[in-house]
Amino acid sequence: MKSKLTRLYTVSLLMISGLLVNVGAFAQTRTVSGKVLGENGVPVSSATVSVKGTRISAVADEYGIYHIKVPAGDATLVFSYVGYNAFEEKVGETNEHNITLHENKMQLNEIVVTALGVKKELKRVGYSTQEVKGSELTKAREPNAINSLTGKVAGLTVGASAEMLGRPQVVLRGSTDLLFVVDGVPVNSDTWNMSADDIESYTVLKGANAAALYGFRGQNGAILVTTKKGSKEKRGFSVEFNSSTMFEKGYTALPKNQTEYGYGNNYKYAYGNDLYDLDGSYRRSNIWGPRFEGQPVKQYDSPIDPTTGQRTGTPWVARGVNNFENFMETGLLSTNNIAVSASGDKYDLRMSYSHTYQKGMAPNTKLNIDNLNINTGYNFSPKLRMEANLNFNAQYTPNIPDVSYGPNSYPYMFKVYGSASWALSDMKDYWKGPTGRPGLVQYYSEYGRENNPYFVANEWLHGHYKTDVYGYLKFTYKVNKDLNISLRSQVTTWNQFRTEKVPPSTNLNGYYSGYYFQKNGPLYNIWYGDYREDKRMLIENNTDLMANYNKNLGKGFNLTAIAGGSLRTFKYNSDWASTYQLTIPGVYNLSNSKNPVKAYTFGSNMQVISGYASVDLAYKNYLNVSATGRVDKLSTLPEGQQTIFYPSLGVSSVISDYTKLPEAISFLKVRGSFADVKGGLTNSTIGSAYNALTTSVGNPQTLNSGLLGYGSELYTSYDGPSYTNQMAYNTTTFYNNTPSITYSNTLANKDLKSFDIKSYEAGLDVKFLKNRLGLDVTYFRTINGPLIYPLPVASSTGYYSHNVNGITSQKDGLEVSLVGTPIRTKDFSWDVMVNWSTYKEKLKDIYQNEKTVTINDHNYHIGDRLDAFYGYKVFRAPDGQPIYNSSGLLLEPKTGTDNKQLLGYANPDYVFGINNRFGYKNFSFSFQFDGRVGGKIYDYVFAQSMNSGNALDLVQGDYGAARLNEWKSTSLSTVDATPAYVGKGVVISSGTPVYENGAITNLDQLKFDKNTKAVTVQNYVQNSLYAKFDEPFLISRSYLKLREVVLGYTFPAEKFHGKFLKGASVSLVGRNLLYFAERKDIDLDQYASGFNISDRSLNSKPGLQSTTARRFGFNVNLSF
Amino acid sequence: MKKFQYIIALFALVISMSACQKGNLENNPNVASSNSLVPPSLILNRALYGVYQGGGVVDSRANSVFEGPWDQTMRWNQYTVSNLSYYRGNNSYNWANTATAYDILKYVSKMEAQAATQFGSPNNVYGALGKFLRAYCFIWLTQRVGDIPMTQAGDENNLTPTYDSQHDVYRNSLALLDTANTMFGSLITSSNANTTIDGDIYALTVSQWQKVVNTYRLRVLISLSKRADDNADLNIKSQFATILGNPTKYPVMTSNADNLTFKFNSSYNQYPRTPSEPYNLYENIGNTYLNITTATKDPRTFVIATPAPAQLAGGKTVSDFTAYVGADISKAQSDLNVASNAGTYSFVNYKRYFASLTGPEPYIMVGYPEMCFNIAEAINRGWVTGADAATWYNNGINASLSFYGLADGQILTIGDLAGKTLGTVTVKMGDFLTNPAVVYKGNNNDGLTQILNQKYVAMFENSGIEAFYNFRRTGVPVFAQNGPGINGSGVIPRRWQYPTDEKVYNEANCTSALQKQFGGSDDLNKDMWLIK
Repeated sequence: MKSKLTRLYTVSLLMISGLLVNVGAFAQTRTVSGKVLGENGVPVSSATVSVKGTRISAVADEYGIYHIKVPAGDATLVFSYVGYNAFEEKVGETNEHNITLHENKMQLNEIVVTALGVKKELKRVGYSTQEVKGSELTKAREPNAINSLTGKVAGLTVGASAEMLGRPQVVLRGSTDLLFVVDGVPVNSDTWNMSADDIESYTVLKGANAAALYGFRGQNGAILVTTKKGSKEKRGFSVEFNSSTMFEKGYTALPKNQTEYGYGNNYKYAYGNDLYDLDGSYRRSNIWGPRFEGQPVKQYDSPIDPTTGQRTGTPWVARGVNNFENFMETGLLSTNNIAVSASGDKYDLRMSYSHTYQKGMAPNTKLNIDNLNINTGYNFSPKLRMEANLNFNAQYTPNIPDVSYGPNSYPYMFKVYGSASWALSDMKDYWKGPTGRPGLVQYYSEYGRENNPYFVANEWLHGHYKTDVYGYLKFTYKVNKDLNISLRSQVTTWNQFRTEKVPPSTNLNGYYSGYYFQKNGPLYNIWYGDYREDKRMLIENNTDLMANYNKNLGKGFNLTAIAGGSLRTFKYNSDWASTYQLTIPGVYNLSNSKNPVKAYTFGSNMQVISGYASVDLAYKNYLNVSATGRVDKLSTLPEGQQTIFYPSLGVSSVISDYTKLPEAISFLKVRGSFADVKGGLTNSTIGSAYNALTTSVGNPQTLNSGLLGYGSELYTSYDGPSYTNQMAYNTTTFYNNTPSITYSNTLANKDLKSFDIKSYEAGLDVKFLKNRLGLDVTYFRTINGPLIYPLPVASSTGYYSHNVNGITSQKDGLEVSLVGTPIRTKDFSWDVMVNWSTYKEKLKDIYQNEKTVTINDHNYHIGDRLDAFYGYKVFRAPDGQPIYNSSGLLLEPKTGTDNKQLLGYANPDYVFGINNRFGYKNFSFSFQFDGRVGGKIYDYVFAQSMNSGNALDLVQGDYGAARLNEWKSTSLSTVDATPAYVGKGVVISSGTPVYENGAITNLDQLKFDKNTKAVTVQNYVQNSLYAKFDEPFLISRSYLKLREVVLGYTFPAEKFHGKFLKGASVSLVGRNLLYFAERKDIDLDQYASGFNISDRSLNSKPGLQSTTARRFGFNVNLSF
Repeated sequence: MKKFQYIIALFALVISMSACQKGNLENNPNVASSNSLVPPSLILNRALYGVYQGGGVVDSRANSVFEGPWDQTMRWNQYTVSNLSYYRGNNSYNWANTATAYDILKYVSKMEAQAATQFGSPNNVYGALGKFLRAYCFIWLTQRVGDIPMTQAGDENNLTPTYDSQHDVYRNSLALLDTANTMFGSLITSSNANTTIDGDIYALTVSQWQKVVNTYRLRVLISLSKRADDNADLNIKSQFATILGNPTKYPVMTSNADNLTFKFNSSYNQYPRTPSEPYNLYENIGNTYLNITTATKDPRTFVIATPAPAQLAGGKTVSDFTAYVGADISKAQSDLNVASNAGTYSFVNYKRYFASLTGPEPYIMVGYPEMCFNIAEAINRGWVTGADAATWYNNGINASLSFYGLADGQILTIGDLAGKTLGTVTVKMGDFLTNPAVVYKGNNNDGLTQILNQKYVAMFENSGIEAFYNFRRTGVPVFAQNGPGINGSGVIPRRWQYPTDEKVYNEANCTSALQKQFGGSDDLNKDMWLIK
């Protein structure tokens, strides 16, 4: 066993050194030749061929062709190559042997990409990385390359956004600020600016240890993307075509609504006699109205008697039971890529064009993405090589949905306040009379809260236009065989333009002053709409000079050293502007504004000058030591604190190479590393110019909270200055557009130092049973801090916080990945990969002698889990029954910070992914389950639809029975309802509760009786359950998803011999096919992030999301 | 080979040309740094907006509460009662940690410094307004909690300011108000008396501001009535008498035209109730108010409320005062909701308060009617001699009636909760003014109760939580409590708890203040020095 390993190792080491070995020739030999191909028919160049039991070997050329001299008689050839299973073939009479090698993900001599794009043997790496092949992610596709990494890497959680063009939450070891690196250079990425078809591999550097060389941007780890390069095929070129078409239909998670009761309040409803219900009492109504029993009710389309001016009732029936389902359409995701690779004596070239077209499920929403990638190299001489890469990405759409809790979004319109009172089919002509006025007033069933969904779909448009370009030019000069020097300049830049056209008569829900339906005498005042623009531009240049030295020092010592310097210059500019009521309806132009335009600009500049060095010293396999150091001069930090140094150290040793281990263990490597990263006063993302401006003076306002009152703030990738350590005046207006200012609320600190993140990691790689089973375990501890933190101060200072190097958290986690091949026969194979990870983050230290710190309105003590979240809980008797007051409502909790109770933890206990892959001859079948276990989240849509009277729960069980009885007691809305809901629980019959920190401390001294007081269901929900408590709406964050299923067939390679078509494969694919969770109101997938130390967000109470659906389709891959 | 090196050299040259950014990159280029020249008017604008909004509201601080009309504070004043939590909030006085108004102090310091630099002297109108605003923000907080940091507050270099006793806070604040008056006195000339101050969103003239300062000082002095006898050093009574006795030196408001008000506008600062606001059915008028006005046949009843639907259904007319029924805020919200649906209670007068974007009236922060009642109260208490309480009492009533534009014989249209006209009533001023319950009963307890009741009625939907503070100090009018609707205990708290930031980040000083005042516990139900 050991000798085989050693030999494999030796062979590959030789290979890596780039030496061809063809040892000796025996007296009587013959030459055997042939071609070594991979499963996909592509030649395996540099594959090693050796004669078993001898030291004879040869290496295949770039076309996979080998020639080997074989001694006379019986011989067995062993074919091997990094990343493939070794294959043995007996040499009989024939001298030609064409071989197909199968990929093996568990190879020992795996090469990984590390920081700065440096390739290293995995066994020499002292920290945790994990690689995913790009080809695995181009079949059952996501619209976004990064989304596809879900469940594939232990410790990496990707929460694909339910929204079109939404930025996924990419969480690595609990942090969301990750660095994206393409071919060794950091790019500014919204995760949409790369095409999955151009990606050779994704390497996840898990944490600071791996990414220390990238400086502060690598503080939480990085995702390195290696793009595909030019072909080495004999013909000099190859063409790949990949086409994927997927349909989106069948909801994975869908909030369920009742359709028994319609608009109204306390079982009553009547639309006013006014055209727009302005004189009605049930405008902006909830869904607590009468039951649909066909009784006459005055409705939006009931006729008005011309003589009396009174509206006449029409039958009250559930006209729109399936409004939402009928409104939504089948989504489509179509991705096509064509890539041409070529190479010649001196050049290699790859040109690739991808087009993604996505049609949303919501009508009239779509997205186009063009991605052009050119990768080329030219060898001036064997010593001098020039490489250039350019990626051009354009995203454009006239309309994508905007989802938040407000009148702009479908979940709000259909799921929270969607009544079955109206029929969807009636709404298609949204300008129709009598209430509609073409181009001016929409036709709808209510005027106050919502909008006609077709009007929203076709008139209220959110455009997005972005061009995103990154590319580099690089010279590499090979001074000698040990040393090369490279000079590279790279630009990453994007321009984004977003528009919002708000049509006349749009209901903005009264949040934004100025929008109203009003009657002025006989005339209706209709506002004419608005137009908003959001422009953002970023340009960043990274220029590097790097020397790379690699030398075998002899006696088993090997040295690799890198030294370099880089200059990063950064510039960002943004504008946000909006009309303040249009003067001419339908003209969407900023100059068409009735009141002065509201406009904001924000710009920033930054520069980072860096020097870095890395030394790797290896002594055989006993010990590999890797040390890095980096110095940054960072312009965002205060004068005098700008120069920061940070080191890292990694150690690894392959124990199995020098120690005898039980036979079951075929390989054992241990590793450990330490890194210390510093930085500060930068933000990873940025909002609108308005948001950025207010954030920079320490008074963050989103468009939603500060200006518009609806909609969602768009955050784009940034990685630039935050300017939050400065005291400044920001101009604004509060009263009647008169000029005013705000002044910083955070005290600046001239002596503020960079933040400090120390990361420790230890791990082991073990392979068992002749490498059939591989286990990788990593334990990490990250000491986050002291961070730059706006520590609260007593408000009597006039300020709310001061910047300090305070608060430190400690994160401890474990990541396990298991790879196995339970079955491998000639025709059938079964591979399994399991990823599992967990971590906990606790408060380790606060500033100076502080014992508690107020975060998210809770005072955390040292040692507390920072993802613990607090809110209002139902009081319970010792036997667990809820306690009611004498009025039949739940006993009211005390409010205030100290009275909130622990509701749960925002982070999951653990996250896992399980991949299975079966191969039978040319068929393959793979599927992946992944999910998260543990943690709690507030089910916002459930809470809101309970409050609105619209949740299905309100017509079922006790609620349903009481509601029906109450309804019956109203005699068809003619008398007031008799309350019928008696909450199951107790009332205090004697004793007075004593409260301390929000809990009753003398429960044992109280006596309880059964609660017998009835209240109406509406009162119970709206005045008690929803109004006073958080606990009833908490759900488990656990879920399990059947993420992807791929059934593929690869046409046998021999069919294409001598044909134009060189290979073909087809697949049937599915994504998100099954979803299991406690309540399926929301797709929990999106909420990957729990507590996040960098912005202290807790993500325990998210807003509304679009409904997610299953996706299925087919994929065709052709190569020419 | 050489030629390739030239290529690299050229490439390196190109890069070096494009690279380094020069100059200061640390500073935020988008805003004015702390040492910029900023017009004091812009800072005044922000400070005054903060006064209208309430402590901490502009900065969205935890527990901050908007102080304008038709909101949470007006339920604490028991003018309105919510029967549905989601749309009209809760009634429960579930108080905890307060917010603070120290943001005003911060802006005032900046404003004073900028004005002193830009005008060459601290003796200017912004300096005078600064004194007033300082007193305003300290008193705002001390009324809520008790002792607070004052002398050491607002200092960027002292993050743990010590607490001043409530006694000292009042003494110092009264001195600040006196200085403000003196400064205005020295600054006002016949040529500038009627000019407004740049940045003043309330648009008062300089001389009106001087009146505001003194009128506010009268409010502060009367709020100290429980401490008037045992704190000779504060000279509460004599200060009051001095102001009243010297209108040249201490001018006070002379009519509603002098009111410190916030005026609404249709484009940017709309009235909180507008035609697009459809939730009137979830709010009722409180019985604390209607019990007073209906018993006295007060025509303001018709102005602010609708008749209770059940009363009309029972045969009463819209002009029958007994048809106007207030809701008892101490009842459980579910019971209020059921009763309101059954038509038991009066709603807010939709026709008046929901008719326009600018509202029927400006929001009064410090008003002339209240001042009249404060003076009447002082006379009733014997603080001032030689003045007639009845005159000031009647002045107050008449000023309030004129604020609503009410006159005898006027015909008012009565509507329902959605503004549908139900009928008309004729204002019979005599029925009200000559009502035995209204005619001043003299400088005795009954007279005092009358003054306090009328002050309460005049402060309907205005003056922040002054109505509550008056009740807390005097017990008049009697606020509804001891029911399941008033938090868990049924009792209206007497104070707020200290802000969380003070308790955690100024711990030693805050703890010591609690020790001195309340035996160490931050008890909501204990009385502070002011009202003991």
